[in-house]
Amino acid sequence: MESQDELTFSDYLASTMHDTKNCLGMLYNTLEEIIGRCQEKQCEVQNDFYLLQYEIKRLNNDLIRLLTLYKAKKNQLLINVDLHSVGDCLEESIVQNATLLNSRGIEIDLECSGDLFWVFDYNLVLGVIDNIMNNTYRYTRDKVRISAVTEGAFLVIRIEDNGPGYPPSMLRQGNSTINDGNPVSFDTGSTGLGLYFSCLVAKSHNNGERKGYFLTENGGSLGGGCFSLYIP
Amino acid sequence: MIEDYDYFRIAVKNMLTFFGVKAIDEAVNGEEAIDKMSSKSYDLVMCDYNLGPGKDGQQVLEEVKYRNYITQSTIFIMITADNSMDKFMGAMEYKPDDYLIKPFTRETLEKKIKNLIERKELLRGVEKAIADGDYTRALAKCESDILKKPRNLADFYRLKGEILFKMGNHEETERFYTNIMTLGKLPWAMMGLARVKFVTERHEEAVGLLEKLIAVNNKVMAAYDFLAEVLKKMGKPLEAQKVLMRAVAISPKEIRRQKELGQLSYDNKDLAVAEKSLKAAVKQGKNSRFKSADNYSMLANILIDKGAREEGIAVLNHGHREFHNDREGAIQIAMSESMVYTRLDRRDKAKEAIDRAVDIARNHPRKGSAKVEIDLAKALILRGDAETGMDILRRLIQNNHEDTEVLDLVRQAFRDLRLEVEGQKLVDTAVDEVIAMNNEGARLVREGDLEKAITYFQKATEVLPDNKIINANAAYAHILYMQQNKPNTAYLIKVRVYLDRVNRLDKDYKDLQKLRSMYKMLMLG
Repeated sequence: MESQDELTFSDYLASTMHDTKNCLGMLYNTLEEIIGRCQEKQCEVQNDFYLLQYEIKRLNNDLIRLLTLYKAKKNQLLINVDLHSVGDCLEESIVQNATLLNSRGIEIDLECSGDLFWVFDYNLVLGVIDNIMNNTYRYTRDKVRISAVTEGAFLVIRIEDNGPGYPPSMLRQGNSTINDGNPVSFDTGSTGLGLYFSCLVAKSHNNGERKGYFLTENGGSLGGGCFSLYIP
Repeated sequence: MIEDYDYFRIAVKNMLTFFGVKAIDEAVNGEEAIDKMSSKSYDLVMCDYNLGPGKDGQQVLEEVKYRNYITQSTIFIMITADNSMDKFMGAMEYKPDDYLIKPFTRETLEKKIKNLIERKELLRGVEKAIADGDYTRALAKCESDILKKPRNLADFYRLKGEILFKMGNHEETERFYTNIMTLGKLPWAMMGLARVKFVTERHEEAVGLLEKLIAVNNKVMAAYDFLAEVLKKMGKPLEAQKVLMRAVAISPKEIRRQKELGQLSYDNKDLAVAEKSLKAAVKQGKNSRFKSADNYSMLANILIDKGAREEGIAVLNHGHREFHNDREGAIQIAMSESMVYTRLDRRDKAKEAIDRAVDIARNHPRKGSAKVEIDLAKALILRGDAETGMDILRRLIQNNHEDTEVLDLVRQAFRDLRLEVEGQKLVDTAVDEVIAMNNEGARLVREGDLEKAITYFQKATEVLPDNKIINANAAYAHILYMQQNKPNTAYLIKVRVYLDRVNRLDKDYKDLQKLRSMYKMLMLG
């Protein structure tokens, strides 16, 4: 009986999250329309609205990740791979974030060869990139570079900025195995969910013996935070 | 724009209007959407996956594709609430063109639609060649397009595999898929390879591959269906049943799979499973293209077997209402009723039901499926109306004179009736008659007497409107005549009717594509 009650509870949680997501979606799109009207009238509060939209997007992304994790716990995380143009995926993440980042004067730079193709789950990887791009809104000074290359048997998608970089607790360097239970820090407001999600997505991509992983480092080509996702 | 949530539907509509979409229709549930797509053609369909209590987005997509309400060039975007894979992956041909995750910005939507239009444009050349049945050209075009590295490269690889398979070059197809799989565990490549193994009789290997595919992603539903098919072919119906049971546990909404499982477990004498899946099939089949009177008949029989008479009769009454507009379904239900009442020893009711079946068949003389026609004929012969019954069977044989499966069914029916000798005689003479008829027409064509051949085949197709070979030859005679003289509207219309019939009877008929190309050439003048 008890396990059944538990199931019901987590299912309620999931359905409530879905409802909350719908609600956020509505807020998000309403704001978009308001911003559109604002642009026509060139009103001053426009940037405040972007900030609102940014926070909604962040909440929404958190919920998406929670739902994904909930499903991954119930089942295994299923990935739906196909051969994709890497450039397409990166471009889509830029389209999703450009308006917001541009509103803060952040410049976005894309480096990816048009004939780079790789096998991966498009939506999950897009989710990871989108999350990192979204974070740069808060942390970078005025630049973001997103790039993709192949290194040996891996595709490497890299997102770099010129902000202050990751705090030591969030650094994942070298080929160290990644701990699933990322530390939750209530001081910094970081739930660790983003990195946990990245980790799950990376690990679920494997090809033969090779498994995916990610690194968070400081420095890189822009001197700030540098996130690298490795997909075999 | 299909979405049950008013607010979101309007928001998306506003976005579409903003970047210049001229005409937008809305639907709040799957049923309304299917209804609209049946009467109007759309360039773009945006459909929410979760549509409340009725059909979900995937079911809408499958139904409109199955019914050809949307074509290759229609863009279908599925909108989902999250990016995890809880959407079931049906057969490859029932995949949406892309997914969008809620909420999305106008820019994202615009980019996605533009990309999809570009993708469809890029594929046009290859798809056209495939539709023309010109696989050599399709392959050449596909290969030259692949060299250009289009952004939807995977689409071209997928098509290349399909073309190679259709050309029947199994070795090359296998090499191609094996090569592709070095890139990663691509579900479509694994399915493609399994298909090659299956047709080259390497069943064990096909099973191994499909199990591996399911282990990688247990929601590729097409893999279960195919795996069950392979196991059945290997003479392992119990294992096939187990595979389908795994599939319905994951995705219980697929009517055709529930039906297949019902039939399989019924044949396996696993009546509990059969009852459960047939009940599901009946329940989900309401108002669906995939509903089937078989499900009602089988379910009623199972229920009566286990002593639930009232429930069994109720199922048939329900079917009776559900199929009142469907000739074949109505006949089938009426005949099941008659059999059930016979078993229950209620002769009057049994007779009433069979009379109804005969009435429906007479009032709607369109041809039904072989199985229904045979059942009807059997019932008539048993009731003493041998002449009508034999007549139905003769026509059935003559319309399918080269279809060994149908001929076997007819022979089996005669064995059931203990009329084996008479049956074989009927089959032989009926088949001989058609062959003679066709040979005579073919002789006239060969000897160049096209006018006579045309008159001859016009008559032959009146006698046997559902014989694909006669119809194809009739089309051929008309086409040859027009090639030698000049096209005329009356003949062109006739050719079109013949080819449509061949397509309806057997869309893979060997000469159909060739005849279509010839017809199109004539249409161009």
